[in-house]
Amino acid sequence: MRVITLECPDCGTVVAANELEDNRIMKCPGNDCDSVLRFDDLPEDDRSFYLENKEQYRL
Amino acid sequence: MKGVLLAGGTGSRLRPITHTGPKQLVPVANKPVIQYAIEDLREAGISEIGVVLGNKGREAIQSFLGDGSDFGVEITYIVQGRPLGLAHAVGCAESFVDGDDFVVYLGDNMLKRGIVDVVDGFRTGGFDAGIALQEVDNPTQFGIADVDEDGRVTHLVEKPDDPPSNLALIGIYVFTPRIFDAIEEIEPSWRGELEITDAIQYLLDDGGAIDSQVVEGWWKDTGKPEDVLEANRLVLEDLEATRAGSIDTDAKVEGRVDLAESSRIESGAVVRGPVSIAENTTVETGTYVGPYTAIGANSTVRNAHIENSVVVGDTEITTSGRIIDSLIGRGAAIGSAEGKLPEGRRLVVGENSQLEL
Ligand SMILES: [Zn+2]
Repeated sequence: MRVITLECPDCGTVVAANELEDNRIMKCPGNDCDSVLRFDDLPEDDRSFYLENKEQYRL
Repeated sequence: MKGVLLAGGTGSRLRPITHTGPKQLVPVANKPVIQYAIEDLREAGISEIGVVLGNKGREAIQSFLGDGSDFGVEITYIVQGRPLGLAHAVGCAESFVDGDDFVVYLGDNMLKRGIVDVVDGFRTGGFDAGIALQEVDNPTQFGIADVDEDGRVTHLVEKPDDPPSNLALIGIYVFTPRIFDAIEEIEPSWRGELEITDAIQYLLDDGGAIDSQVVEGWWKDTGKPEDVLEANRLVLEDLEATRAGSIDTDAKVEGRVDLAESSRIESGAVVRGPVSIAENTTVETGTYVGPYTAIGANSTVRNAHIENSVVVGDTEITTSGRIIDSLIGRGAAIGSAEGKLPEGRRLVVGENSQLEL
């Protein structure tokens, strides 16, 4: 199964696609990081794969 | 080599303690379980650690560990979100691992001897993965490995009816980045989780060489209250005690008692080690604290008899009843009903609590 994540460009905190998709836009969960992370920041290929196979990532 | 510490999970078997905090922060001998894992990784020479967080207790774990500098390590957080399985959790760490070999450590596991042997065994062999094993009495309850005479893993099987050995997988693995290819190839199991044993089995089937190390000394998964008490007992067994706090002249203190500097044992109290007493705690007159008890910070114990128990902290215990084999959550108050009418016990008990009265 493809595991899709996004790495915060400022602090290196990693967020899984399911968490990004639940929030769409979120404050980076890293300690003391003010960056904003978006589902839309994922590469187009990852985004469409995730959305097409969403059930796999739901549990 | 890097470290990946898995700190997700719901902690459902430790309710009600885990209603208010993650299981990885439950104290064993007055130290959160997860801190033992961080110290084991550091002892194995691993200072870059990715901590994988679920949905539960995230902030509490981040606020405890911070950037890792208090523990001499450097921490990167990895938010897994939904609990999609251990292999998914490991897969989420790929960009953090960035091509290195890495150790995976389940954050609610504890090992007496740490992980140095497991890591060293892997380092010397040119393996694709290494797993830690321990002999168990009930192999049908565990993931079990079949190994050849050199300790090479030949087969893995989850909770087998007919176990090929009594060597159970414990929550410590060493991986090369090849594991990420395996994770990509496997599918979720019947329970909807991406299983790490499936990923390792994929490596085996793909011709990978998997080392195993049989871990000596105790190993504990602290998922249930009785496991927390057992781990507490095992750690206190080896306790190095410093009686830094104050002990009144008429108090009776025997054996190894670790007493924080700001804590006090008053006249008329009896404390029999091994016992750990954290900061700002007072053991008052008439109290007996028996072996294998850890009392957390900011607590008061008066007139009580307590043994083989874990008191998390911010607690007042003034009952004259005997408390044994108990796990008492933060902020709990256990008073006395003596002299109150009508006679009986008066309880305000949280959801999923377990009492034997
Ligand atoms: Zn960030």
